[in-house]
Amino acid sequence: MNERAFWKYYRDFNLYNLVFSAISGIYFGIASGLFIFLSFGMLIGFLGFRFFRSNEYYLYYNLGFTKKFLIKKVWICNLIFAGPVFLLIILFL
Amino acid sequence: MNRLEVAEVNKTFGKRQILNRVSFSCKTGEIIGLFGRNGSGKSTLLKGITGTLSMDSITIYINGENTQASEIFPKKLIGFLPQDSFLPKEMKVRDVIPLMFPKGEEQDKIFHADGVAAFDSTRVGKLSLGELKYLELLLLSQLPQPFFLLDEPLSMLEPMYIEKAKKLLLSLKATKGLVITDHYYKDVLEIADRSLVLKAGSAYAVENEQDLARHEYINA
Repeated sequence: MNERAFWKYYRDFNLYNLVFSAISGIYFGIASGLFIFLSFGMLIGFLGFRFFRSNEYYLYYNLGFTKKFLIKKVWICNLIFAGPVFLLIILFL
Repeated sequence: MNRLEVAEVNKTFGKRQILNRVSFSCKTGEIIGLFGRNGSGKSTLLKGITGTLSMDSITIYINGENTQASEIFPKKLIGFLPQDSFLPKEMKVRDVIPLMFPKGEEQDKIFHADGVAAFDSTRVGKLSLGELKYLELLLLSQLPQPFFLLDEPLSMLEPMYIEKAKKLLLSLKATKGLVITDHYYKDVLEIADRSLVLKAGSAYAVENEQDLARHEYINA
């Protein structure tokens, strides 16, 4: 698998997610922001990429990725990176 | 030698049947030209083969093996050049090349290709249409897929880049099978081994401009 291409997708996808989640975090608190980043924010990331970078999916298709695989892997990575922080906040704050 | 066979392609939009039992084949060493007026279903057909658009029915055989359209991209069986650019506009050409090809030797082939040095420090979004299409073709040419479907690779290109693109496509033919759809019919007829025209949902074999005129793709 082309790791470099995946991380490019990961950054572009999460940009929309992160902006939305950060704004939510400012309004509703950091735990809510992290929860949104791992849940509804994924939908925002998906829609943002589809709206602004739809044709770039062909770059990933030509490299052997499928849309389903990319989104699933982004979610798993987000869960690995942000999940423990979210749990720590829930448990200790 | 690899062989791609596409059969029984049917697609309806609402009440309009865009593709009606369309079939064609392509093998390594062949360029197939695919013509048709706007809305005739050329892009629909290519997207259907790659599984990015669902068809009412489609049968695909690759080297005699029945293949689902959904397997085409993950198994790297067919590469696709869409009409609009698929490259991230904010990236520089010299960063896009390693993004697609982590191995140095593959990168070198593109960096050292004719004309690339002139724009390798330019952002993709700032490239001329000719430079952009040429770069995309160069990038695709290094991919391992045995077949490529190219949706308007020559349209709107300046003559210098049309010649470069044609030269590249002819060189690709040695190891790949290509299906090209483009309104630049003279250029496509020049490099194609066989051609088809889509009309009223069906595909007809054509050999020259007279045939294209007979099928009302161009004026007689």
